[in-house]
Amino acid sequence: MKAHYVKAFIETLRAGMAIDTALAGLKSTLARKKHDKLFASVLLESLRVLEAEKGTDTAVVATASKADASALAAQIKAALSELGIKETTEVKEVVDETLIGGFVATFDYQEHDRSYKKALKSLYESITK
Amino acid sequence: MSTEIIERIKKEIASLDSAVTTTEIGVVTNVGDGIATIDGLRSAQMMEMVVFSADEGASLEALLGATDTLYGLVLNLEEDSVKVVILGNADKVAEGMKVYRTKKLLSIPVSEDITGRVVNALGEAIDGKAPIVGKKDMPIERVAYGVMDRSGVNEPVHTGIKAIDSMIPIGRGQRELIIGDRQTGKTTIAIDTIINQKYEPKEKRPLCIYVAIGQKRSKTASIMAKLQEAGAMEYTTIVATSASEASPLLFLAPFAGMAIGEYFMEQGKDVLIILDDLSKHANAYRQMSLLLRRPPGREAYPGDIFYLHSRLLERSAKLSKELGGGSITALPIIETQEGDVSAYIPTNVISITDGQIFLETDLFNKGIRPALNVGISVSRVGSSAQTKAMKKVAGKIRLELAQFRELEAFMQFASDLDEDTKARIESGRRYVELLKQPQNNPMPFYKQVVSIYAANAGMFNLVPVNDVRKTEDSFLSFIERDRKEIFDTIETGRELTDEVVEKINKAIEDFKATLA
Repeated sequence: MKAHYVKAFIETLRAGMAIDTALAGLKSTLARKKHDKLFASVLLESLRVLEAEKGTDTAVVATASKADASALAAQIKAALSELGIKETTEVKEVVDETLIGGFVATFDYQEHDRSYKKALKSLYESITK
Repeated sequence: MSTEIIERIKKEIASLDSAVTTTEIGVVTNVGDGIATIDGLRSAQMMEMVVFSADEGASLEALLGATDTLYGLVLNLEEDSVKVVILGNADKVAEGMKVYRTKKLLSIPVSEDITGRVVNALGEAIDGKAPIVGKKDMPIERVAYGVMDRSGVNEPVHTGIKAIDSMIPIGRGQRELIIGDRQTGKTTIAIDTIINQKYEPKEKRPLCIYVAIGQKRSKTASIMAKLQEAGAMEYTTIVATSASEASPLLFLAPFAGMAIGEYFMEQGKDVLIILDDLSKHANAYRQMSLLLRRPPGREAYPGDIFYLHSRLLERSAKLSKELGGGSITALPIIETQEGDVSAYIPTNVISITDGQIFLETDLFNKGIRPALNVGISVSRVGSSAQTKAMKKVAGKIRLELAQFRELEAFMQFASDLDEDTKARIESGRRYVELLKQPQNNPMPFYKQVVSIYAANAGMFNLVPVNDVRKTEDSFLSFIERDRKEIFDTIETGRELTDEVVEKINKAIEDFKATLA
């Protein structure tokens, strides 16, 4: 039930309806069908779906330190283009100290892992196996 | 430590030859009841294994120290996401967690080392002994062998139970259902069959796989103890899933057992697999399907429950000589409610298998154990696999028992019956008594042949009904002690030659003399 409301709400927004009108429509439909209690959860689920969609338009680059990000700029750029980012794609930089060095670039459910953590883990696995 | 040293080490790590490729990832968006919904993984395949990543935010030390990998199994491919059943502790999976493809359909590592071990549904040892090193990854799901790859069932699997081996014979490659209410001795028949394989010559002995589906751990432990005590564990593998495990593992267990069996069958070996029981398997699959939001059908089972069991049992086969001649004999077990064999799952499995052994509570309570209803139990292909010796003696027992069942109703008017009817009833009662067997005490087929031959010859008509089994024991001990060549000849030749018949007749006469 909830999934159908979420789908309809998102489709309405995609079709170009103003957010206030869409919200009012959702509220009145839920009230008419006596499904008012679903309002909050429909909004939450819609938010999740829309954020996830937005997320696929954002590339994330994780490095061990800020300094690494600038030092590895050329490699990161090459990796991002391999992942297929567009000029309009937003690139979000995050710091993850556990990477030790190198970087991990993620975009559109694809990952390019050049971190030292992965290199060392692979080395460990190849030795122990 | 100087920056120079740190930078030098980092440079060394960067130069490590680790193949960097772009990998497809998924992100957990929803998790509950052992099922995770994952966005991404667009190229994931049905039944593909995926790995839930524990890497994010974890230090290298923690990663290297981690011993268990959490796997998932892709079971629903949807428009924007995939649904995955978590094969392990679902509490470790959180929203936002990354998931990686393995690009491998679910398979388990198998080698000869798996014999004598207790493993879980993923083929991992759970008996506290050393991990099993696999030689070959066997797929959990695969298409069964085709018609041209198979040969006819022509070799027997001896259960060691007189009533079954004589009247409902099972052949190697056959699927024979054991069906009955709870506490009627279904598992006992299966375990006795495993124990009885120790009497087979080593080169012909089938390897046994006991698959416990959603059984109590205590029951599995006691079965293992029984097998160990009987010396049967050396050729047996137990695939154990307990009632407390997640339903996907219960669903996988019989498929894992089949995969192990196929490894040996492809080497030309014979395998006996016990699936205990498919009712619980159906329940686990129903639970999993409902959680995966697949539409429910009759009794809330999913629409493909028949297909699930038929593709499982169809993998039991007798391969052609060109493919090595190996076989998998399956003994699936079904638990009925109040003897209702017309319920959904029992009728499904009855129609898939090549025969069924019906066990009845009434017979069990009357003290007839195994509580086998020989009237409605059948074996559709096994008779062609029966040894000549058994075939020769079994014909009469079937007829005698059929006549006894018809006359049984008149037993209460015993005083009004003619002598011939009385004699038939008395003979039938002795056959029924003869077919009783205590649990975990299977009888090798050559002893069964001699025992049934003696009954056909009327030897037990000389003793009261209650003394039939005692007399049988004494007679078999007498032959074992004084005429062992009778057993040896039947065991090796597998037929009743005139010479052997003569020797048995002589032995019966001599034994009768001792009775007198």
